[in-house]
Amino acid sequence: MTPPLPQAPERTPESVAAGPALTPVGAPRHPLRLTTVVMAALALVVLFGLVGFQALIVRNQSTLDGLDAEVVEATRANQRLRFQVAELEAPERIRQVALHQLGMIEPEVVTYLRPIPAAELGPAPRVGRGESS
Amino acid sequence: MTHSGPTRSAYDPRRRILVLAAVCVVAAGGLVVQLLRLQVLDRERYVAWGEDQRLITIPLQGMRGDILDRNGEELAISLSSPMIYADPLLVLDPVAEASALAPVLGRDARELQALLASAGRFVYLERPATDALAEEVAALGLPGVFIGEEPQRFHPAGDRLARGVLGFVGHDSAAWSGLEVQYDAALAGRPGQLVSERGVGGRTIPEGERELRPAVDGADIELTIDRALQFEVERALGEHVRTAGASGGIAIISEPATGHILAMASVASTDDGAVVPTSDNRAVTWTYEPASVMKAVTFAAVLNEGLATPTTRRRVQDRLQLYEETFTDDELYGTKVMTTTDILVRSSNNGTILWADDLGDATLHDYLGRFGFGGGTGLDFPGESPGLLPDIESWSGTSFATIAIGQGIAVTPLQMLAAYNVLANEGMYVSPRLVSRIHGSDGPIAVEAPPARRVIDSDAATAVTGMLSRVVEGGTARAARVPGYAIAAKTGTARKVQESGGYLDTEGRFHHVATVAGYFPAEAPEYSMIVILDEPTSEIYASRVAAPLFGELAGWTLRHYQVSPAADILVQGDGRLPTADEVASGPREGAGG
Repeated sequence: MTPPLPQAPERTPESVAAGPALTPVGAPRHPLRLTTVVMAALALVVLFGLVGFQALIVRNQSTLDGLDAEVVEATRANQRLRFQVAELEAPERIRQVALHQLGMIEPEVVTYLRPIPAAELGPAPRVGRGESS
Repeated sequence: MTHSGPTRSAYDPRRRILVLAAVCVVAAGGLVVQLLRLQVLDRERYVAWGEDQRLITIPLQGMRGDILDRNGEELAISLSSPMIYADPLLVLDPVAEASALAPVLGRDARELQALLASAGRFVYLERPATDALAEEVAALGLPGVFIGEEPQRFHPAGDRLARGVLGFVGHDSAAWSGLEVQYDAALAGRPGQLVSERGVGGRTIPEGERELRPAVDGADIELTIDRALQFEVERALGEHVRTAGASGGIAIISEPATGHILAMASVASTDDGAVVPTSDNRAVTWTYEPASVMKAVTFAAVLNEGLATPTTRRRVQDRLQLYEETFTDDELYGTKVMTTTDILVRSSNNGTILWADDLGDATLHDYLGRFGFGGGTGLDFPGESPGLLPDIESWSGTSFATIAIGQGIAVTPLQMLAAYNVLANEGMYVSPRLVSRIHGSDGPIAVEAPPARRVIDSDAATAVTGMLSRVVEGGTARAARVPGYAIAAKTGTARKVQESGGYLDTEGRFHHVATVAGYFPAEAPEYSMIVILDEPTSEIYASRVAAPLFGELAGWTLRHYQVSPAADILVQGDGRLPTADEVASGPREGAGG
């Protein structure tokens, strides 16, 4: 057996004149404004990002330029040092330093130590090798 | 009654609005037209103009390659050096700026003023400049005056070392002489350029246009020259030229087996008595009659033809009549029986002529050509002379006689050394060389040399070496001896041909050239040498003026390369070296000797 349905309120002239009972609700949230704010914030972030990226590129380019200049300068310094080393090793300079600063004396005659030709040597000892003396 | 105030129509705002609108339309139209002109019609021109302002082209110099000696020591290198220049268009006050520059540059103010006020946009003020001078000029801060850089050639071991061999490089890396000219294509760098966009202050615009065409440095050239030996040869040669009162001198030392030239020097006396290396490499550009040093070549041909051995005897007279000419020896001895070795040791003209007569004109001419006379050495040095070997058709009845003793033929010092190298190389001609390798960007490249060729048999060459050793042991080249080493060499004292074509100068005097050519150690030649003193005055004979220099340089070379003396008793029977006691007490049984 089905339960009995609830009875609708009885319509009276007073109730009809007063209209239905209304329940107040909150104002509806505007979705377009939120999107705009989010987009603006996003655009700001992107803009900052781009500016930051550009600043980074500029800084890196500046660093690169500086490094290029350093390479040129270092290459030049290397060349000059190599030249100086070659100058310091020059035979003429070494000779002058040896003669005038270190007191080198050049021999007037070069003496050669050479082996004595066999014919100029005296006779071998008469005592044979291995013989006890 | 008239109305004195403005009519209503005069204050009609709609009319003003219309006028304003019309002005705006016209202005906007103007802007549109201008935009069209800028962006569409003249776009290319303005783009190009903008690029001209932003794009900077920086030329990149390819540095000239180095010239190194056989041990990698720098003989010639290029460095960036400052130079001072001006852009006259940017010079504000030529008079004031010239006055400021004159004392710094040490130049006449009017001369500088003329440069600063000249037409054009570039004038050199000092080239090259020192670093200190460039800094001093930069400190003046003169408008339109700038400091630039350009490559300059330097010789770290001194501008005079191997001057004639290396040659000279002028402004803009232009090679003028020597090896610098011969190998200019390899040495010269290839310029490049960098195109980049620059903003305010010359800073590179990031992500801007950038195009780099890198400069390529020139290849390094590695010579066969030994810097230390070259220095010693120039020093000793200069000293002997000064002592002998000679007008100049030439010396070459080489390795016969490879043809590598270890030292090549040419010096000359100046009017103030100094002796300086010549800018001209006279070792290859100068020719002369070599005189008796040629006799070794004549006897090499005689022995190679099997006409004689070093001990073959022959009767020789001190006077020899050939057609209208009388040939004599320096020493008057009447008639004497001499071996071929004796003839060479005593440097007998007549003995040599007799053997050359047996050889015959055509054979002698053929041998001289095979020894390299009258032709190129293969070195291809700029200005190298082929010498002069007269055609066989032009020989007179006495030509064979004069040429056999080194007269009537013109040779370069290098040709004569190359001929002696044949004797040292057991009969093989090896072309002389100055460059061993070229170090390019693709790694080192060996320089090809002409193939060696046989001129005479090894037996004949060895026999002549023995004869030349006797010349040093007891002949005219005794002063070239080096204790402990066997030297093979020959002297030659030639009369020098004068401008008139004869041998006497306008004052009736002879001038001489003294030569010694040879190689050492004779038993296994490692080095060969020729020394020449031009017009010595203290003594004229090569045995007195040139042989001592030969001996001095031979000794230095042997010590420098640590060549052991002849060691006939050093090695014992069991292959070991003797102890000091054994040497002192005499040879052991079975010792070599």
